[in-house]
Amino acid sequence: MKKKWKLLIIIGMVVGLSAILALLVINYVPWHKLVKIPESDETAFIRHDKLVSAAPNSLFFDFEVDPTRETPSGIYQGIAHSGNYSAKVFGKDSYSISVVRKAGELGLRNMGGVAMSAWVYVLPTDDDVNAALVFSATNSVGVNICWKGLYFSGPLIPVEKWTKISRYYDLSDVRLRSDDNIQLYFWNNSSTDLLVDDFYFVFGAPRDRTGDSALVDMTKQTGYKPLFNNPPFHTLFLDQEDIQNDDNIFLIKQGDSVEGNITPDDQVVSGHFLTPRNTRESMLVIKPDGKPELYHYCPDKHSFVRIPLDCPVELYPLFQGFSYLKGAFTSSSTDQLLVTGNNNMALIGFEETGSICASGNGASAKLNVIWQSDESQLHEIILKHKNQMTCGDLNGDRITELLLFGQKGSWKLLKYTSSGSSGGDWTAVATGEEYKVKEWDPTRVDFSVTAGPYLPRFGHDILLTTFQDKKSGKYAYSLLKYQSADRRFTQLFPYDQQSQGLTIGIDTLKPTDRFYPGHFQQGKPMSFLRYNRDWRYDLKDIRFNDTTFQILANIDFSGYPNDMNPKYYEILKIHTGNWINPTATSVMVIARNCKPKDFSGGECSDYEDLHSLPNSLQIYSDEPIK
Amino acid sequence: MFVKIQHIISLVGLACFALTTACSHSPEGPEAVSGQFTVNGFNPLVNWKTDMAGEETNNVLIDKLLYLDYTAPRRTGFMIPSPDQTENGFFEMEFYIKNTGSSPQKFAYKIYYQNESYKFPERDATDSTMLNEFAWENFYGSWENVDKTFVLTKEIPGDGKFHRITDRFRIVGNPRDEERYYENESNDRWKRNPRVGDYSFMLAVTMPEYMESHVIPDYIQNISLPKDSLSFLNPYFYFLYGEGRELPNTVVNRFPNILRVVAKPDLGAGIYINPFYYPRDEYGETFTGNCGNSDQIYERAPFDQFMHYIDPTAKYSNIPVIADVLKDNYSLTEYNWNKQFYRKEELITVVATNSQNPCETVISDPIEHKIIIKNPGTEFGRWEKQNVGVISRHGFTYGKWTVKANLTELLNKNGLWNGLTNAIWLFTQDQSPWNHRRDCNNLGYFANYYGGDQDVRVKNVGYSEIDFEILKTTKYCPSYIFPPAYNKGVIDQYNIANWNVTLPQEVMEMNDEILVACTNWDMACQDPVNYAGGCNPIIYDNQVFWQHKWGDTYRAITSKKPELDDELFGGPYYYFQIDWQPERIIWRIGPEKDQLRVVGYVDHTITTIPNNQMLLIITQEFHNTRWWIGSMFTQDNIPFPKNDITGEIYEVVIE
Repeated sequence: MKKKWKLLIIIGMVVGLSAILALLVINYVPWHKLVKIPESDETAFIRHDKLVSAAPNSLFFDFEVDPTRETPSGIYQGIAHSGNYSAKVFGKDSYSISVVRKAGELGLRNMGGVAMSAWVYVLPTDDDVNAALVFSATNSVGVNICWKGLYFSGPLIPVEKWTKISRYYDLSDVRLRSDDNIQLYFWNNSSTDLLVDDFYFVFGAPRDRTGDSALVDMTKQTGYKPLFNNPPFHTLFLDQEDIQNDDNIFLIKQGDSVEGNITPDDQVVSGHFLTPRNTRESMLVIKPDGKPELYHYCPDKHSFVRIPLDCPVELYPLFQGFSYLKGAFTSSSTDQLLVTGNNNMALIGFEETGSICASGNGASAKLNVIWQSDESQLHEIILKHKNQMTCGDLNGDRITELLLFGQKGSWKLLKYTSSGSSGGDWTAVATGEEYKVKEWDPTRVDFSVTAGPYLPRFGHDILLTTFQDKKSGKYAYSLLKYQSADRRFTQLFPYDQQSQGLTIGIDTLKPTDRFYPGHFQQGKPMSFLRYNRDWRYDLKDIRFNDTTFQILANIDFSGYPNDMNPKYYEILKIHTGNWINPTATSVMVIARNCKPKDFSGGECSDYEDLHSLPNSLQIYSDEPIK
Repeated sequence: MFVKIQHIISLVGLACFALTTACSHSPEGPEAVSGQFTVNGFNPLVNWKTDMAGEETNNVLIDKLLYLDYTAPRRTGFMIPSPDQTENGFFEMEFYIKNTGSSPQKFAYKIYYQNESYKFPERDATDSTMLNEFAWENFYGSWENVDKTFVLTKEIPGDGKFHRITDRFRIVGNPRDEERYYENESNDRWKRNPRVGDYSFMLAVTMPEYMESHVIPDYIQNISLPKDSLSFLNPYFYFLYGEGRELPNTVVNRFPNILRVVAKPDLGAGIYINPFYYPRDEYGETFTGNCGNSDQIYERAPFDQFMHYIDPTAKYSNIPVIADVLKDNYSLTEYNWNKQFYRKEELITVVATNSQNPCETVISDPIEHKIIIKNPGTEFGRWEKQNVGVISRHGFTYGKWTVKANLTELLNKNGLWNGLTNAIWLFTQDQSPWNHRRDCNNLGYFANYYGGDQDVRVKNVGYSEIDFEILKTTKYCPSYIFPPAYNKGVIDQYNIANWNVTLPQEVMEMNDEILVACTNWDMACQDPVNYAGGCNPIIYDNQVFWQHKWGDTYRAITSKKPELDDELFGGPYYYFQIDWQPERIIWRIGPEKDQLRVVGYVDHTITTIPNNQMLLIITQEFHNTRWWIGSMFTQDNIPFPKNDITGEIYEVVIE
């Protein structure tokens, strides 16, 4: 009997405890976080043409469906924040259509946080609203590992009105794997009927800037103490020239007539092709099909004019080269163009007829092929790309020499020698078989050589070589001077610097950089623009000295229309020339954006004329002519 | 005609006084009758004749107006009237008394005044027979010399005639002669300045023996005496609702009109430079005729140059850009580019600064009677975001503080922010015990305005602050709207959409709006019945004001209201008003003083309203946006100012 009572007591206690446990579980276990809500593949009903989210690392769903088909069950037609459809969440413990993604699809590196927002519409009700926009993550076996709810509840919730809700959640303490499921949905925990629309989720924690730490601390007693070549740098704002082209893609616009659609694919060479060297330069534009166009600025008209160029179509192939070198290769008072293509080379001169900028018919020009070859080879050096050659007045005789780079640092310096009416040919001034230059050895380095007046104490061009060691990846640069007497190149940077320029600060010169010599500021010595696009627009005014280069200023732009600062564009081609002022160098920018979204620099197959940043051609100067 | 009659009446009165103290005419005003005497014609402002329109009047029974005299010696505190405002620096008072007995008799009288605009009701709201526990805080007083208790009249014959009694008094600071406002045996009356607003006057007349026998308690006779160890007893309660009301042969005669006291400092009277910050030896060369620390400026200037407290931990690394955001067509694209495409090494570590030299960025214009403040433009190598402002030099408790100003615009036409916060705020005059707030009984106040939620709590604290802070930021309430889902973008020069991200729709929709943040620093005192952290709505003037506290232990409560930048700062001027009352604070703004609208409201049910003495500060300051979490623009990504950013203050009125 005692045993029976004992048993009954035990059974009673077990039942009682079980009931208490059940009550506790019902009341206190967060079922909404554990329950696996029914999944629905949004791709089945979402119209992808209506998915609008240009912003990175984000998902946007506006629940628009194909109106020609039956409306899916979770979708509500007629009341929507955008479009015609929204998602319905009717009744207690109801869920909206969910959006499901693998964490790997969203990018694990973007899982440090999530910002989420949605629009909610409360249908007429007397009940309180209690709902949440949910981010949840479950692992591959269905265990919930993260639940974040943006609660929509509390007093004064607007009814029959779209209300935006939003929140950011730090997920840095959540360890997610690629195959974990991320589920995004709206949960209604009240009897009120709700509509939701325009889910927007942004993944990723706030990211730090590139770099190490600020170099200037104005909170210290010492204040600002400039450090050579260390940022911040002064900014030189180049102001837009009014060339009366209405800021569009054409260089010339006269009434409805436009000319000079210069694209990033075009080659642009500035030079005194028609006029003497102390006057304005002309702009030679060579289209990808080899068609040359010649432009000249006429100050009286405050605009460029196109100079008709007599160039038979048969000559177009001559212009389809990979290298375009301008120089005074002959003793002429004007410049010539040396074009090198895959199967030909030509030295081309220009002859002017008429008078540039004169009223009436004005001038025209005729091409004069001074020299040509049906192979791209000179003095046994086969020329395959533009980095194999450069030109400049390296010995100070005011005649431009052609420098070719051979194998393992060898080189040849050529000079064009005219032989009267029968033409002429390239003769070797010096060769570098014996005096090889190690930074010109393509087996060891990637390099780029430009000739220019980099050091003002020399009255002629010297060579700037920027190179990257193929083994170490290290960048370096050197300056070389041609010694006529020895017929060799000598290093200008000190021997104890390994004959290389010092790199001070965070700016390095690279073979991919572009260098533009010019008088960019009136009354100041010649300097060089260095253009780098490694990770951003970076144009700097620099000058060389005996040991290094000095950064004078960052170059930015002002006076541009609307919001069209050239530095914003995905593609920005820069050309320089003394087109407008014979003594001051202007900068022409050809600005485009690329249509394919996978663009990562280099060639762009198609351009996009954005409303906010339309394709543009602009010219800037330090002191524009007003 | 009316004026003439008044004039005649006055002349008759004067004649009566000159010839005899007995007068057969019926004095004006309400009559107070007791068993042994009748009192009539109480006029506490015999020699103050400025009516509410500022015109001279001989009408006795009319409200009067008085502007506080800022030229009086500063350390005496405001005196009403000042020595220059009446012939002898006092209000002449008079009343008439008629002995209704048969034998001559002396009577005892005492004048009391009380600020009626900013007071707690004398009676408890739930039991009108009981004293309101805060009524002792009201600004009331009597004769300046507190030892002068009740005054005996001369012997009044029982002739059935009214006899004129005259006396004089003035309203001064620390009228109860409280020790807390003394320092080195000096009564620093300026530490409890007379409040602005309307003053009532009450004459109590009783029998002399009630004094000697202490029927009228000592603490009513001498208002400097506390009733108990805790507080004083407000004589208005005593005589109007308390025991004094029942006393036989004791009457009070209330002057039916009020004296309105208004503070309107002359903004052209100079700016004082505190030698603590700028010693004359070192900075004297930068002083100007109207800005410095000469004796004259010390006495006359209503404002100091304000020195911001610079929190050294609030430093940040700013983009190295110098631009005039308001004029240079600065755009969201430029903001985004600068945000993404500068390396850390290029940034400039700064913290907001104060002016290096006094008088350079604050100007008091004696011609146009205005104050000009300007955040100076910076140049390469001298990058700086400098705060500027002025602080008043005369503290008040409560008042309707109205500022007419043309502070700088904050947004450009693209909706980009120049990083400035226009602030009009009240700040504790001192944190010493003399300026402590009333006791906080629930947990206490946090001892410091900074620090975490585990910091020391104290029963009293001197810190108080009531703010207008107007800047570009986002709303925090209701809680489900914060923060907006920003896409921070990624550094990708080859895809504009990746770095030039747009702001959320709700942020773009308020592109041309700034937020007017209205804050009361209650130091997390949890005495209010509805004190709570988080977002909580309060309704006033048919508007919902969402009040926000980051938590129960947050030291301030803030509401925010979007307003058009162009409207507040794009016109010639705008009005900003903090209406600080004992049980509520109302923030108002408007294009004209008679067109103000409510933009913020708190009351004592949700936050502790300060009751200490505060100063007015008007500033244009560069806040670290870490204080304004969720802001769409962050201070470190806003350029250094290229040009001076100017604000002008045209009028300050406290009433």
